Amino acid sequence: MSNIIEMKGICKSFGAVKALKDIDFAVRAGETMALVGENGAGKSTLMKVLTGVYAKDSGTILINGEEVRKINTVIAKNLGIAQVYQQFEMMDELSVTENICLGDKSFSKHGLVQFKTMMRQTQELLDHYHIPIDANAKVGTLSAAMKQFISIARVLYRKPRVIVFDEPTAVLSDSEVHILMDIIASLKKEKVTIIYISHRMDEIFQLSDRITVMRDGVVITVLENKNLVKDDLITHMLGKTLGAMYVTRGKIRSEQCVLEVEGLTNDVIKDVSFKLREGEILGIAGLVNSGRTETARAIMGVDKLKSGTIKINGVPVKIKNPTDAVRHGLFLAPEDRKAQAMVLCRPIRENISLSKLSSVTNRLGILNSKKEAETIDNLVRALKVKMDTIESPVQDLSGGNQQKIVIAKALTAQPNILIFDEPTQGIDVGARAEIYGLLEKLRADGKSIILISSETEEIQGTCDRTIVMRSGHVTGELNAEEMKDTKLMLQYMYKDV
Amino acid sequence: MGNKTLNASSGIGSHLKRYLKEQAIPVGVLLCMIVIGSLLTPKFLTPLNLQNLFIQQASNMVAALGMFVAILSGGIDLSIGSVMAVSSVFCASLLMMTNNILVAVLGALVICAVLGTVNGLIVAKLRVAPFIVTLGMMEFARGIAYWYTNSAPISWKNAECAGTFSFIGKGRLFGAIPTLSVIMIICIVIVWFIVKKTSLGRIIYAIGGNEEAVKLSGINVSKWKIAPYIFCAVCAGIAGILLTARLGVGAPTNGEDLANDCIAAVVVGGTSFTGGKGNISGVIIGVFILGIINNLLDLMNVSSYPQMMLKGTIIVAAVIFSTIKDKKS
Ligand SMILES: Nc1ncnc2c1ncn2[C@@H]1O[C@H](COP(=O)(O)OP(=O)(O)OP(=O)(O)O)[C@@H](O)[C@H]1O
Ligand SMILES: [Mg+2]
Repeated sequence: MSNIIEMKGICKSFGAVKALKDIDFAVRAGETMALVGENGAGKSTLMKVLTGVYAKDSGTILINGEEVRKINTVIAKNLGIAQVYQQFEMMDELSVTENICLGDKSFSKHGLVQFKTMMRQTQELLDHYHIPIDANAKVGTLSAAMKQFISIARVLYRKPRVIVFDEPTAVLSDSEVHILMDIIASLKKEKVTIIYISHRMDEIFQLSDRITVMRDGVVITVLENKNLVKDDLITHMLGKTLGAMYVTRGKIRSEQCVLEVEGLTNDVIKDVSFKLREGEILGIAGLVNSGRTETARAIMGVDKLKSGTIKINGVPVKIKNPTDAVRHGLFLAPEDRKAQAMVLCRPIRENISLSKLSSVTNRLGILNSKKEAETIDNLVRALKVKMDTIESPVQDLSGGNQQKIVIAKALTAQPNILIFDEPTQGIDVGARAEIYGLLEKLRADGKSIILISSETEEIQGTCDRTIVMRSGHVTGELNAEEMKDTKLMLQYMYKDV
Repeated sequence: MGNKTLNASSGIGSHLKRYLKEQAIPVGVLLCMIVIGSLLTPKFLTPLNLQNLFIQQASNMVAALGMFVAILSGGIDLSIGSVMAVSSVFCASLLMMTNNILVAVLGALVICAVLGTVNGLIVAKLRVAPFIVTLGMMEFARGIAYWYTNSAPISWKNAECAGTFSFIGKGRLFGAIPTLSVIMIICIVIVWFIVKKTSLGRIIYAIGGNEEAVKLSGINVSKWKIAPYIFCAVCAGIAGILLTARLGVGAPTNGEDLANDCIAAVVVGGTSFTGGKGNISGVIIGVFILGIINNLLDLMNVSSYPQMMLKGTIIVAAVIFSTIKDKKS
């Protein structure tokens, strides 16, 4: 089979940081190539060079054996190379059809848009790939996961020959991942070439024909996905073997309740009640849009409650805004990193200490820069954040490393009750194990943690207990034994309410 | 990269490098202006002219520092020109009434602080767009200045303390350094300290970058968002006092172009118009870029209309370059 894409000797630097060092990368027509590697290895950067988002410093790119000297996003598109972007801007007020066909002029005759044909063709496309969306629906009414599928459909609509997926499943829950796997399976049958970046190993094994492993801006090896053992792949990625993913759990410190919520109700969540004990990790499982994030936001005082009570250490408290919540020893590491967790244009240092400025200032509010730099240096070293210096803006970090800063910020706040919303999204396997170790250490220190996660395995591996949510309701509570039963968990996730 | 996880490139050299990379365009434009200026007329690079430049720019500089803080926080303050006029007329009038410089200065600043607080409260608590709120204040404060003076400038020349007060505007410390430029430098140092070394500054930058993230960090955003507007009004107040001291009168017409000039200086100096990014050296450079344009064209006897056209061109060009540079990296 011939190579549809061939990149040779690609180099790309950002200032002093060499993101790509002499990369050779080739994909055969019709195959599915997985691209894996640690956070900051250079995967996203390599794809941005291919799709013309970044200009390469040196190297050659051949498409169908022909050298493409100049490449930008428009040229790449015309060559049939498309990328699925995670947060594609969508017009919430328009229909699914309009969002998908936006910019396509073939439907306009004499300046008038032929709506019916457009709608029919869109529905055909959605049905063809088994995407459960009505072409007529307004995008604003759909969940975040479905919007992700619309942005995929938008790419499919243009019938590209090569599709790049950069961590498409980072915030999808297991059942929605299945829909995506089916789409990719059909694409493979249609001989579309796919480049797939992910940190989830089972997806890699399930989908790919070959796997390119990157580390520190170089290609380590290209593997055939045949008789491949998961641990071997991980060893190639990390450059060392990985121990157990999940640590053995200690005992819960006491039966004392640190947080008790009762009947929390607002527009999205209905009558949510649960208890969190001292030194316990409580999971909240459920599909995307089941009200998990909204529950966390309600407790933190971000969204207003219609009714319900919150007790901390047995005492009812009024939480009107996040400031109140933080004062009561709560802290939330939000799911939406860009919009809610990070000030992207500010340095790493400033982002982390924002959660507890009082610890780096004196009584007059004057900063102690030396102390600040020291504590933060230690913290980012412990989390193995890959960066230039702590003065680099967060937006210069790779996705997974940005997520590590979100975690570092939450830890710096030193709260008694930590709420993590999808804490390991986009984080590589090695760092993942370290973060689970960190959670366990916090727990052993007597902190209490609420872990919201779309990955059933993560919940099973780290939590002492879990509640499951569906459409804003709590549908069940499972103890450590019952949690092991994945089928049971799924039953609660899909339970009718 | 590899193990270069930590402060691998610290030290003054790399700081300077990073700084020059960030501020390349303003620094470049300023240097160009100086070179062009000295080529165009020999009068430009003389000690006398440079001193004049400092004296002329002092009050604009102080006002621009306030605008800088407002823009950093993601807002804007269009009312500073009118607030300057209010400060100017009240300062002159209080000088005449009380003959006490301290009372006059503090009185004028308190009035400005009140106006700024009104701006800040409406923006932060009622969440009205800063553009609209300060546009209203611009009219309102200008009204105060005209009403209070019956549109006639107030001269303070006959006050008993006039001799001392004119030392601020025209005097020289140790017989050589203009007092105005010393006050300007003190203000720069104070503002630098506040934005870089205090939690107030840290929070203002962060709010400008992403208000939601600051709120979720447990910081009371609606409280802190008031500060930039008070700060901005007080800076405009100080600028008004400096101008009054230099001109000898408090005029209700003062500061007609102040807001425009300050916004231009701040943006030309590389501060992001959406907030969260920028530094004080850029503001200093920005004020001097605009100041030098005026100064040069004055020296060459160009009338003020082409001056305005050239100023507009340079502002837009500088911002276009910065935008292109931002996109590239
Ligand atoms: N715009 C940028 N400016 C400066 N440095 C950058 C920029 N984009 C990426 N980098 C750096 O290049 C390196 C590679 O980043 P890249 O985003 O390609 O990693 P990745 O393999 O996609 O990681 P992840 O799995 O975390 O998404 C990182 O060290 C990152 O800090
Ligand atoms: Mg990436």
